[in-house]
Amino acid sequence: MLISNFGGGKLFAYANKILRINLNGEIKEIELNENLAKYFIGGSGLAAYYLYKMKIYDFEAFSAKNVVAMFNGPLTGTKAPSTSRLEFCAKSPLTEIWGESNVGGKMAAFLKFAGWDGVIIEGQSDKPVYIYINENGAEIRSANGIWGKGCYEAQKAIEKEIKERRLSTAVIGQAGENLVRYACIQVDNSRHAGRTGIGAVLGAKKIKGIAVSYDTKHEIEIADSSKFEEEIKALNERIKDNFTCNMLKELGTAGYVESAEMFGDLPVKYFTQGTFDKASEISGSKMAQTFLKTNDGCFGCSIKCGRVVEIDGKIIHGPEYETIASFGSLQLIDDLRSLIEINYLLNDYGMDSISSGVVIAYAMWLSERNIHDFGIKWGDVEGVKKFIRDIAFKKGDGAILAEGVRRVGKKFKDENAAHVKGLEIPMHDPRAFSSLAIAYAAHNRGACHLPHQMYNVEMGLKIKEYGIISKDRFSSESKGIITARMQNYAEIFNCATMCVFVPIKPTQMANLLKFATGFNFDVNKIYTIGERIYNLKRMFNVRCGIKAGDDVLPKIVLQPLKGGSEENVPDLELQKKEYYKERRWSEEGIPTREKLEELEIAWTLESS
Amino acid sequence: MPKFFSQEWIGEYVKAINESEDYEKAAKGWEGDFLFVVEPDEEGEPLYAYIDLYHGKARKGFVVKDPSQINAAFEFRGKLSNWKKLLKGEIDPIKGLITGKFKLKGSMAMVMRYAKAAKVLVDLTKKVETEW
Repeated sequence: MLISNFGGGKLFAYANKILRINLNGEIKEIELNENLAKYFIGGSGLAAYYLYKMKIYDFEAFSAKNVVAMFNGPLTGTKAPSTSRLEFCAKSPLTEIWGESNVGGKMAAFLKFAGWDGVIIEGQSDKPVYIYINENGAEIRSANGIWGKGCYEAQKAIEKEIKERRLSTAVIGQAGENLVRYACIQVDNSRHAGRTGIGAVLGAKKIKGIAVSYDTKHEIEIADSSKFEEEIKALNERIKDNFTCNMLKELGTAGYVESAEMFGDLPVKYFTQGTFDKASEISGSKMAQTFLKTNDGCFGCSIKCGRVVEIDGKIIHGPEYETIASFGSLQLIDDLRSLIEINYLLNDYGMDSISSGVVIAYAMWLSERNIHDFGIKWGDVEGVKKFIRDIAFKKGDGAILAEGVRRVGKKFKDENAAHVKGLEIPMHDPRAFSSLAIAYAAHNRGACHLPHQMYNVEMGLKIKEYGIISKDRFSSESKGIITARMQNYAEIFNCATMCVFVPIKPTQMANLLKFATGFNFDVNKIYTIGERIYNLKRMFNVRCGIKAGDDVLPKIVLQPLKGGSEENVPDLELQKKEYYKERRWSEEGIPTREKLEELEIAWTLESS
Repeated sequence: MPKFFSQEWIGEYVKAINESEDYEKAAKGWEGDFLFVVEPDEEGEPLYAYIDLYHGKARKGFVVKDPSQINAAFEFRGKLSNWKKLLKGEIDPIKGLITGKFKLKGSMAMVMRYAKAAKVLVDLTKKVETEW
């Protein structure tokens, strides 16, 4: 039997405190409310609650009124594997709706060890600054000598200045400083909060970086530590025995390249070609046989999917699947060495590799069709490198591409910009796995493959507890239903916070959360929490003006292709109908009052 | 009709592999022999077969009585019911590995690199009439 929810007046598993920093210098500590923890768990769940309540949907993303929230979760810093995940949330400058990006490294754990469940950053600075957080609170420090540097140098400069052994840093590069709409945040030299352009929101606030250190480790109290550890032991066994985890360890995420090509899941030549016969030249297998030195991982992770490669005697981080596909097959670049160099540039300037890969491929496509001559052709490695620099500094045509594909398409009156709600389509093709159609079209972030990973469900992953089963990857029937359910369940990973690569069962997830926090979670309760958070984010988007007409896919990914997708085109209308019905959303795409009342978030309907 | 994993079945299968242009193309650089293992769903003994695959051809194949005598570069094992699903095309080898229906020992880099060849190998089993 579980003991009380409180340990010495504090919530179990949580640090119990949130740091609220205004860039005008006002720094406050707020207590984490027990009910909020029960209803939204942590991570992007708690962030969504705070950002909704602060009504940031009403403000322009680059304005001083936008707010950046970064939250860890109740499992962070515990022995639960792969839970050092930090959620960066804000209104996105790329999509102008809910923005969220999840990142590994050690910052999430260090933040907890310093005694914080999350940080809320408000306001705007006149001068470049970085924020230094430790157990005593936060300091806003000048970043005068650091502003203008790339991510790698900036991180070194902050480390040198702070001189703490147990330090984690997050920085933006020149792309973030120059407000490239898909600028990312680099954490601990190797991990990236890539999507939705939150790096540019930091740039608009003149925040070059955030550093977190701890001296005396905050003790995390676990409600039922013996049961918690039993559950962890079983989960670690599962990880050890799991094919995908072993594949990720040995080959990285890019180990999937050849299989993706076989299924027709690997986008090629700006989504217009179904096969890529050079797939094995740019894959994780090829990397393992050539440039790979070792693998590395985030804090407390045994999977260690990160790649460390050697190139010209220099040890750097290697590219992931999404980068390899968006700059490789999508742009017809078949040289792995060039992709490693491109990856380094993207990381240093601080740009999301999916969005930048898609926008450069779009420039190639527009050039080929004489719609606008960007002076770049398929497979042009040097041209790509030049464009990465020009985008980061908004130079020449780079300034156009820095706005993302939606705005580029609008500028040239072309309907083939590959995005949903402004977010560029990632490197999984809905023609290969039909449910990705509605998964992208209706996702709160726009075209996003995470955390739902519907391609795994289409490859046979079953979550029987919630009836998430696909019998045929090409069929559209029931896909609206299973996608809505998977999106609800997957929200829990971003609240807990846990890496989506962990092959955890819903019962294990519910038990870990229950034994850690002492809250009476079970498989059904965590599902409802996931659904609550998903709908809360949808309501945020409704406030931003999103409606059913925005839940669409661009026609470029609805043309049949030969190859592994076997000329399949998903029936998005059927999926959307099922999806809205399953979610109990109106025909306009708005959650019904009844549904919101059931989820206890009907307050989102109150006038702004 | 040869029984699944009998010597006759293996012989027919090796013939089908060697007649396949698709396999030859997909597995052009492949070097590695396989021990295939069929585990019983309930009671009974496992079945074993050895096939030596090299540069798009099967050099030899036979039923194995004592697996300890075989030192193959790769081992691919799964339950009989999953083998049936695999051969019926309900799952493919990569999906089978990802979902844990099959286990693999050997170089992951090689297997993932030759995902297409693995799929052709499974497709070729359809050319062999099978008694279960």
